[in-house]
Amino acid sequence: MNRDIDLKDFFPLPPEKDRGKDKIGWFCTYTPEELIMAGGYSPVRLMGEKALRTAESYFPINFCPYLKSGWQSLMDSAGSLSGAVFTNSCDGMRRLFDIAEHYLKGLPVFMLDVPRRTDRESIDFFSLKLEEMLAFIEGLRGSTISPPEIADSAALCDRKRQALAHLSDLFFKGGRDLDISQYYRIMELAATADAADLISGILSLNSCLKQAAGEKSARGPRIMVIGNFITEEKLWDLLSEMDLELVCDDLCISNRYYEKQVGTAAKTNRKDLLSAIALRYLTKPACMRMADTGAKIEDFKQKIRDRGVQGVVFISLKFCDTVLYSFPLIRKELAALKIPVLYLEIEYNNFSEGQVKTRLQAFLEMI
Amino acid sequence: MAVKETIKKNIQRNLNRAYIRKLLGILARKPVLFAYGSTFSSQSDKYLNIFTIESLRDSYDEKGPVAFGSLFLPYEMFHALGVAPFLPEVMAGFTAGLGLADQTLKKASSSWYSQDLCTFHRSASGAVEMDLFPDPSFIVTTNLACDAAQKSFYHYAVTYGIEDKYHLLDVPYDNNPESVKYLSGQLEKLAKIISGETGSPVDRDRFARTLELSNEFRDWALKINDIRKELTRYPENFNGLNFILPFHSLIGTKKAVKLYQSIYMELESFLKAQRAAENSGNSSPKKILWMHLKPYYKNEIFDIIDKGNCRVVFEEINNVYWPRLDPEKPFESLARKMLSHPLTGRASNRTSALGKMIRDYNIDGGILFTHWGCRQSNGSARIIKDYFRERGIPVLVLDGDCVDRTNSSEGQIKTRLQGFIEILNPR
Amino acid sequence: MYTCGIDIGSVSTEVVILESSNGKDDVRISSYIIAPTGANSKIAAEKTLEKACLQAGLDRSDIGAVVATGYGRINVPFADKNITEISCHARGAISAFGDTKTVIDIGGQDSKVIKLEQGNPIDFLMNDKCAAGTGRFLEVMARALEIDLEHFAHIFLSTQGHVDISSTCTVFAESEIVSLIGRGVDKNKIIRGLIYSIVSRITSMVERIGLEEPVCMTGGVAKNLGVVSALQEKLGVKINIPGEPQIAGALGAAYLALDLA
Repeated sequence: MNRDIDLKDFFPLPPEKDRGKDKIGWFCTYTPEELIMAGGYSPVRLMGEKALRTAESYFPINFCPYLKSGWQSLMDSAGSLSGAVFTNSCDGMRRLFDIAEHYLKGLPVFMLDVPRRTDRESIDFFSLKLEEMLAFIEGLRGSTISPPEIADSAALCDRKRQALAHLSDLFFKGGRDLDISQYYRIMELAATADAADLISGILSLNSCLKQAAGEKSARGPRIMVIGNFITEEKLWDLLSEMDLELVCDDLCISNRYYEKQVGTAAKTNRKDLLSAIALRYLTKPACMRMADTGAKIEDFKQKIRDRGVQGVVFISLKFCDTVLYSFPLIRKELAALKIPVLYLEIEYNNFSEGQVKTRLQAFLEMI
Repeated sequence: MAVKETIKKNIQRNLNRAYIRKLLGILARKPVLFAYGSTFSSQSDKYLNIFTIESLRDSYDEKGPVAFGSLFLPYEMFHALGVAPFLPEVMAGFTAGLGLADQTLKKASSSWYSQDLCTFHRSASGAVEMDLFPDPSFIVTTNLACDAAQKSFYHYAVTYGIEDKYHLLDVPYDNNPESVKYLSGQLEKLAKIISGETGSPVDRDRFARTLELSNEFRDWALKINDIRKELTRYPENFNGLNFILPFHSLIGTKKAVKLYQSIYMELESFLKAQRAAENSGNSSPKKILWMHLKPYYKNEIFDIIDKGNCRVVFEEINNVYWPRLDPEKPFESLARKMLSHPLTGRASNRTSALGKMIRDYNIDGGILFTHWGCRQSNGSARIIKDYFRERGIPVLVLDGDCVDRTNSSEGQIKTRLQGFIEILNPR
Repeated sequence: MYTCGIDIGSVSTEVVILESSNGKDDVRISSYIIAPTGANSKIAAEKTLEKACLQAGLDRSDIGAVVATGYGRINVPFADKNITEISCHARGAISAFGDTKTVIDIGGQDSKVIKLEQGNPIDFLMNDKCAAGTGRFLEVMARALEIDLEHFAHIFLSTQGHVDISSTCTVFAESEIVSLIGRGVDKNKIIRGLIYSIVSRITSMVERIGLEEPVCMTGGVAKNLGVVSALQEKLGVKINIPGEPQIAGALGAAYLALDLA
């Protein structure tokens, strides 16, 4: 792999446990990190423990691998967390919360109710739920959180989002200084590292990445990757090796995480701030669990048009009902645009490299 | 029985919408219907079948607007708006009973529906692809109790060309005043949209009457549930899991009241007979609480249970979980109804409800049927098993498939059931 | 000019040597070998290539270009390129039936359906996770029935009626037929049922991709005329089978090697 850039030069971050601030874990991108930060805590996305030991006995076998791994990691690291925030994003996540609430008595847990609709009433309702989340964090801290603390945290998160958006732009449209594995490693880091450290690392990295004169010469077909919570390093390495141009994506760990800002200028009271945060989260690039499936499919089509996508690689964790029920329609709609789609399902900890490579390679040979 | 088998074979050979419509038209004619009804020894079965056929005929006739709905919607609203409900998920159950599931599931598979998914939804999706259902004017769904219907029903909307008539009722996580306000707002908005489309205004009186009928139904359901606290002798072929359609989608109609009234009267007579026979010294059977649903194709599960000196005395699905509705406040009441469902929100809602059933019915054992692909229910299996265990009650987690008979091993089910029966009836 | 295609599967390895003259207009098979892969796919590739050269009366240095395919394709260091079985089976089918639109390949351990447009793959589906729908399914059942797999075709074609095998999983299907045998059910009818079972898995895949004629079948199981007959019946189409269907992948690879030489 041709690697001009060594990530360690930009992100010499201490491992999580040495970072000093108390940590609150989260799973779903609909969890407002700014509220966690406003309380003085460090938000850490729980990426899941690859090796399932006892976790398997709590869930059925045909259950989201991320959630089972998440449970393993909660069991292992509960002692190092001050709390964990869950969302009712999907049935699986609901059950994870139940298991955590039931069996991890020592860990304070909170369930954030996230609406599926994005109308005015839903945004107002979500604001009320954010009040509850804030109260949970205030309860942990033992003191009220002030509006400036919220505003400052939101501004910090916005700076992080902006830096990540710029990085993504440079990555997808620029030169080949960064490979696919490195890009997604940074995305994972973005959700687990301390925000201030991360931002300075990304800003330096961005200034190093060459601005492309035009689009890079094609190494292969122009591919878009769509999926849910994908963190499989071997998969990214495979994609990095193959003859393709990754020109855009729609994933839980990338654009659905960083795109769209809160914008807290001229908001100074708690209510307005929470309302602005509620608006940002409900209207950011949607997870497919949101109600407006039609709008999401239009988003895909728009991206395909804008970026000249020739093929879509759809990657899903197994047993994700939201994706599995949506896929037949997505496939139909993209077929109508003559866009070929490759569907890959993966789990945690048993990535079958040979099988995935064959499918990817055959797909690329086809386009 | 010969008539049922003939109907089954004919549908299998002529699996298309026009034939189904024709068949329902014939069956729903009064003389035919009553003749068919009289082939059932049990009054409950008779009226169940009669009202089911009539309800299906109403939707297939498409004389008025038809709405596809997922199971846990407040169907009172549909009746109050003059819209005929049609439940794809329940139809999936029928495909299993009529031996059609092999075809619908095959169609779903070739339409890219993964085999990791629940067969209620897969069979329904296959049936939509095969154009077996009536044309809907609306498609309404909700996140209660699971994720499945939200996306598959949207696909149906696209298939029928009515994307803009697809509506999702988002039920909040907690049952509190804010949630009631948010949800009743959604219900009211939906009612206005539907009435705008159908041209008939939202009729408060009609709503009030429908809710009153729903309350009447609720009263009878409570009375039935009360009798069942003692009843262990049932009419032949009686199975509480066969009443899904009336309990959910006929509610708010006079027919539902009539059906449940007749069920009550029938069970009451059985209770009298049971009390009279009590002194003859038969050891009373072990009482089982059934959780989730059952296979809707022919199976021996309940025979095995009965022969093992056990009886399913109550089913989770028949629990009357909602408070009395206020006819003057329809949207608020129906919102409360949805929010009261034990499958919303956290698992402890479900275990609390089950706890009450355990006490009311003096349960000796529980069977949790873990239908393939039902993640909302199966994900709670551990919590439910532990909840029962803490109360000293054994639970059998029974793997199977409610609709796909090829996804289930008869031998395995038999062995597990018999093992469980031996636990309940130690020698 | 000589080119070579090597198809390394988990069970068997096939090598095809093609001779082309007149600038690729006149192409014929010089030799082909089918051999077991064994534990080491690298060694299997070497040895099988050696045998093929011997049979063709050629030296290794005579081979212009080599393309490797199959699960072990990355273990062939002397290959000029590795190309997936999808492209290779497609090319192999086209070499036998130039207007092929759908390729059905049922191998020992996997099965696939490939859709072609003007000779090029435009869509595909692979099953390499589940034994049902592959040659392995039939092998397992043949052992359980204690009847040689070679007899299956004849039995299928000469028996009336069949027994429905309801289990979709190979392991459970085996239990199912053992209990059927125990109940005295006619073994011939069971065999027919099994063949319909494997065919049903394949037709599901075909339906997802969309069936278009002409159809060509490749892979070792194409030699089982019972399966072919059942497949033709269920799909309602005639199926073309190349002379030696098991080498289709290697043959396609050798053709694709022509483009490199």
